[in-house]
Amino acid sequence: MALFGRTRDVNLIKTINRELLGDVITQQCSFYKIRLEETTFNLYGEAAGGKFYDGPIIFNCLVDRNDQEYPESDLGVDFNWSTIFKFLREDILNAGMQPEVGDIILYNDGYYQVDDVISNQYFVGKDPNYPNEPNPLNPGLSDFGGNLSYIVKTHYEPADKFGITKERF
Amino acid sequence: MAEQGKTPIPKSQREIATGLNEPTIPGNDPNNVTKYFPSLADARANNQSVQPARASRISQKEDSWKPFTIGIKDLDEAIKYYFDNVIQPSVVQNGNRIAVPTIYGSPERWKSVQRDGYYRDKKGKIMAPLIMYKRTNIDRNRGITNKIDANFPQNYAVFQQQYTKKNHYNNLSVLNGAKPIKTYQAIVIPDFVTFTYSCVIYTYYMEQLNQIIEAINYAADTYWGDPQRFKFRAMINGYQTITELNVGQERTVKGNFDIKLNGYIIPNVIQKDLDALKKFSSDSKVIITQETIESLTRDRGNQFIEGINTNLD
Repeated sequence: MALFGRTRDVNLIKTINRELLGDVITQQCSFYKIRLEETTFNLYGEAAGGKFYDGPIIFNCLVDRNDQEYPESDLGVDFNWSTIFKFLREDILNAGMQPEVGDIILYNDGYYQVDDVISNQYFVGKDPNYPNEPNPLNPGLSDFGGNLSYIVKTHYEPADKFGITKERF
Repeated sequence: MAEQGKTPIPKSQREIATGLNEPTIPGNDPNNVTKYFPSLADARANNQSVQPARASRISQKEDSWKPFTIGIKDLDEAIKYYFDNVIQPSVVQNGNRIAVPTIYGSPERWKSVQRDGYYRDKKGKIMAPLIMYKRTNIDRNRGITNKIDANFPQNYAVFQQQYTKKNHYNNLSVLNGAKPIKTYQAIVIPDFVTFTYSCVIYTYYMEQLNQIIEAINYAADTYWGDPQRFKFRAMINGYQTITELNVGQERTVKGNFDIKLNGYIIPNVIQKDLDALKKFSSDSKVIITQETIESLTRDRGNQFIEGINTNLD
């Protein structure tokens, strides 16, 4: 049986982080989840007719902003901005959501599409979802460790692509 | 060396240009200079530059038309006009039909970012769909006629000018049988060229790209341009479609194609202005059908009679 990282310890960490994100850092973003049932796609695997979303749901998060980039091409000067959003995993799950590649995050009037979803910050290196039970060596591992965060890597997308707000006049 | 105490007067642009021009001598025989170009022979003898005949220099001051010119920009504008006003490509996006803007490629940075806001979102990201075209090549087309010699253009297209105040038509002229002088506008045969434009269609979805290609392909191999100005035949041979899905970047769908525009150029340059014929008039004739005098000896005495007699001899 494991000695450290019991559920109480994990809850302490989660509570501290929730308080830190919500009351101290207070960075927020809105999460849009694609509605798979209503969004239809064509032969090329693209929803050219429009997409439907659940949300937005506002989450406290930690925003790790990279520098804005202005690449140049024949079309002119473009704009890129890759940003990393770090969520408390339990906040997302409590909202009934699961971030996936292709979802949309609204942050500071800009829309970011999810490229990578990283969920590997295990408290004391253990994920209680995989206790290997029945486990004769270390029984009760489901009470130890915790998966703390969702780290979502995104890139900026032009706003009119999603049809959420009117961008072309 | 300049004469002592005398300020040298620099040559004007006209003097320099005409001084540099020398026509091609038939047979490359120096003796032909006198035969074909007497003014040049005189000029060489007197160590002067060749001056075009005064008769060919007719004032265009009150003309209602300007010297006919077609520049490279006119051809570039023909492409944009045709995209914007005739093809009018559009796509359906999020339930709305939106027009596809056309831009000339690689604009200045300030213009691209600060003025071209109509195809950018709040952060300055380029929004699709968008058509970009850019001239990449200009080839001379020698398969058609040419002006032969830029120093002394030989081939012209000639247009008769309409009636004007000086060249008017009225009933009195018809009664008297007087024909007004016809004035002609002479335009140097243009330089025929083939322009190549590289075009990129940028869309979010392949379905949108299909719509735009269909519209452009329908208009291919026809005459593009403003009907009030110039139209040129635009040839499109094929399209290349590219779908890119790069890590950490948006999915892009692009269509590339080339437009070959069969055009022509009549530049507005000083060499043409100096050497080429721009305007000329028809030959004018004064016909005296009858002359009456009272007496042969009244004013001039016997000299006149003697003159007539001499001729009769």
